[in-house]
Amino acid sequence: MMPDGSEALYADAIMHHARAPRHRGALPGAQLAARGRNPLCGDECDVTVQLDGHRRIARIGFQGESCAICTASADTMAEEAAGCDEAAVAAMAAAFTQLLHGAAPAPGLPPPLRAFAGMAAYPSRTRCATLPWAALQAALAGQKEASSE
Amino acid sequence: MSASLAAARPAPFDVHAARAEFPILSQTIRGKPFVFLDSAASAQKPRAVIAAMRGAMESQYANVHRGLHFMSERTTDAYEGARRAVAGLIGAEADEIVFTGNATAAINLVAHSFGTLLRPDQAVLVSEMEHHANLVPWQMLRDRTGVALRVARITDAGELDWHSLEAELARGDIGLVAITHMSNVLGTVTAASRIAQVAHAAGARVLFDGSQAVVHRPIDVRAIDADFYVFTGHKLYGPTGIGVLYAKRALLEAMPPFLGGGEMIASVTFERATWNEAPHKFEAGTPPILEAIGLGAAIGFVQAIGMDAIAAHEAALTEHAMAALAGVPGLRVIGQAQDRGGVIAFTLAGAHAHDVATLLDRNGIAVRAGQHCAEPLLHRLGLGSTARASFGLYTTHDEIDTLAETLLRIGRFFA
Repeated sequence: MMPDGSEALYADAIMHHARAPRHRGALPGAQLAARGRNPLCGDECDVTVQLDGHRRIARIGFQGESCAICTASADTMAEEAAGCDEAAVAAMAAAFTQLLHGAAPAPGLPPPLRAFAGMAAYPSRTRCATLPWAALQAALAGQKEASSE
Repeated sequence: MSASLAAARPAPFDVHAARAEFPILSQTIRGKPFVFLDSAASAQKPRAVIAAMRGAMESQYANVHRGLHFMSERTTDAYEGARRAVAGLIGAEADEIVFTGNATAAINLVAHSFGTLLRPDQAVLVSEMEHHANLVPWQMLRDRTGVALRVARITDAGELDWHSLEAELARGDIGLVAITHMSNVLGTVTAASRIAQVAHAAGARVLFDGSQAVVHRPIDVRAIDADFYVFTGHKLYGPTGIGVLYAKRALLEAMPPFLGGGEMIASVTFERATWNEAPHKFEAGTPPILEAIGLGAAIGFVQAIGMDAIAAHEAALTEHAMAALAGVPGLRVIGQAQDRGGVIAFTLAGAHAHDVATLLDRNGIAVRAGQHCAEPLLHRLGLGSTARASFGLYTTHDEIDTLAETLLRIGRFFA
């Protein structure tokens, strides 16, 4: 569709989430919430989290006006972080960030997150992908705001 | 195209010959021709500017004003020559031109220095379409001294709302109207003379942020009757690190200095200092010597082409762009002012501005995406991020066609 080398970034796997995110929307009865803002570009990613009885994530919802990368990252995060506790989220977020900076995928990093490996060629867009994770981690830490700086 | 431009019909300049003077434009970006449509953020530099600065460093440079030796005298001549060039560009006298670090610094100078002449029961009036540089310093003045800050509204078309401006002035307490001469988002050119007239009639001074306007239109600060006029060198094909404050002589004489140090003094004891005359009173420390020389060369470059010819070229580009962009489904240009220049912010349905900018970049086209240092304006318009294409004197009609064609493909991809 866009024959210009951008396929690695706007790959089908990512655009699928960007065009039809399954986890967009606020969760009723969510115990945790945090706002994510990227002040440099205006991306918004407000995350709400429902926990199960064992302090693990049951469901994640997200809202806000954001670019395709941020939307796809948030939707992928919502799928892959379900069932995780705060420590597992931190580990996954760290591995995801490493991947965005060009590191080889860590063993155990779920394949849907590996789809973002092409972002290493777009350093100015890294914060678009990390913003949802920053908001999720802020929510889990009981903070109201995250900023992807 | 405005009536006055249609009547003037300056000789069209050879844009391809002009482009050849900008070495950076002949590159390819990601295998595609470099289509630079981000001049409003910062413009590219012609050989004349590069050569002037390099030449100074290679063969004619020393500190200015106080040296008694040959190099200092020659460099001082070049520096003061640049001041005269700036004055000539905008219809002022050299002693009414203060060099600063950029336009933001120039506005901060006015906020600090002229700000002390405003009473706490007075107010500064800005507009909804200001760049942060012409908003934040006035917020800081308010927080320091209590001088109120009020905001004149714009219409949904992105023009100044005259009723709002006049209503604010009618309250009788405005000491300064600080307003853009050309919006860096909407492209709107404000009716500067008329604004100055109504401001003066209400007892207010007027400052214009001319950072975009000076690049795109001939400027005459006396015809406008501006009290203050600021712009920055790096958008006018000059180097970074230099800005200009024009102010009426009487104001510069009345205003206390902003920064203190060397050069701005007449004499110094341990207890106190006396001030140098304007404009030197406002130029503390070693000035941006090389940058001023570069700006002087940039002004010489544009004046050799002629600001009227540049303005006519840009009017044609803008007309072409508005027509071409109208042919892209889902594309909305932000700002529909009657008098607008070659700064075009837009949204594309289904595609976030960052994605538009990234995909344009993959095709060698540089635009800006984000909030363009105008967060309150975008919020007023109900927008998050927008993309922005902006023209320089080196922009061609082919480049506009390339932009429109690529936006068409991007729109289809996100549809």
